Amino acid sequence: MFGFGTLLYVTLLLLNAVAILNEERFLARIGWARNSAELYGDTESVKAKLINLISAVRTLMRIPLIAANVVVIVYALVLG
Amino acid sequence: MSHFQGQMGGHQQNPPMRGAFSPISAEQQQQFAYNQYASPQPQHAYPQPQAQQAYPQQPFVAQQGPLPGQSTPYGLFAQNLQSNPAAQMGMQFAGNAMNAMQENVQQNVERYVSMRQLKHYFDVSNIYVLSKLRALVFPWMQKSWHRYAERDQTGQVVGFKSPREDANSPDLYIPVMGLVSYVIVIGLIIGRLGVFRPEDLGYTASSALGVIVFEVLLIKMFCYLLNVGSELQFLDIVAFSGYKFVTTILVVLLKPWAPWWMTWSAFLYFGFALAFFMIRSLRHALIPESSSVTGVNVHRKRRIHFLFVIAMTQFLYIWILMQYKSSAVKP
Repeated sequence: MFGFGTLLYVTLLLLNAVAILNEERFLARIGWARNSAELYGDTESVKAKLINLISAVRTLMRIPLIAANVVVIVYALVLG
Repeated sequence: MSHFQGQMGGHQQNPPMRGAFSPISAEQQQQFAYNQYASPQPQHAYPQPQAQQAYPQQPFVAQQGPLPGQSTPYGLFAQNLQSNPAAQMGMQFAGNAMNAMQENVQQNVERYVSMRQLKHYFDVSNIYVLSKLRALVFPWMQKSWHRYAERDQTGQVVGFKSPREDANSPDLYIPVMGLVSYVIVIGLIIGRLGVFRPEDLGYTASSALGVIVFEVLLIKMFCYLLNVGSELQFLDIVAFSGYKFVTTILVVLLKPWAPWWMTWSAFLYFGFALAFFMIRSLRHALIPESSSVTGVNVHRKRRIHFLFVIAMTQFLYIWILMQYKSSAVKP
């Protein structure tokens, strides 16, 4: 029910969701942009760390996510 | 291969070479003499010096000769090896190759998993295990939850004491044993209910591992967000996450055979016991005393909330682990 494979699928979907957040259309609107002024003073607050985390995920994981998605799609198509 | 047959009778006086690893004793000489009259040597026994796959068992097993009740096909090599300098060189080469391979593997593993740290977590004693189990089931009986710090020669704090010396230090032995026992207990229960299939063991193990991985990732992410640094190590989180198997086993054993109120009261009691255990154990790591706060922003209230959330989600995880399911279709 809650197996390891399910967990992998769920993390893949969540990482996809984080990776496709658009920087300027969405994050800037709600004040979570990467380069906004509030970050320069305070790098320790929860909000700053969350913004750093989101931008790091988006920067690092875009290309491996492409590969992982292709693998999962092929697996789902071929093996059902 | 004609030179093989000539060796049958000629070497009874020579003591068997044990690969230069251990001394010879009298009975091994006798067994070696017994070996001379065994069946003819297999022809692939001659180890080439350049053979990468030289049988590594030879230095350890062959020259003992077949002990009663134990059949060693390599026992027949004994006659060839000590008389053949190329064979001796081949065996030394095999020994060196094995050592080099072991070092290589160790270096590669060391990069991902620190073996020294792992050994620290498995350094347990019986008294430790018993006191830890008692602390999980009856946490109010535990007098002190303080963890002793390990100091090196100059008095600097370099970590925590190992579980052997400190009953409050987390270990990985109980979680590993708990995981395996949990899988076996679920298998037993499903078997008693009559619907066991072998792949259920795999599904259960995967499910349990999924719960652990999920919890560890969640806690690790919140530790990053709340600036909890080196006071809570990754393996510590894995260890604390694995302690729930002990209480889960106790509750899940009741589930098929006890009335529902007994199961649920046991669930509540053991859940609160585990929550209490987690709060008391993690308090030192997450919530520093006000005297030791340095320049970092501590977010004391948030950390208290975080600790509380960790403790309460243990209920959720135990409940998930109690939902075993068999893959068989009921007849």
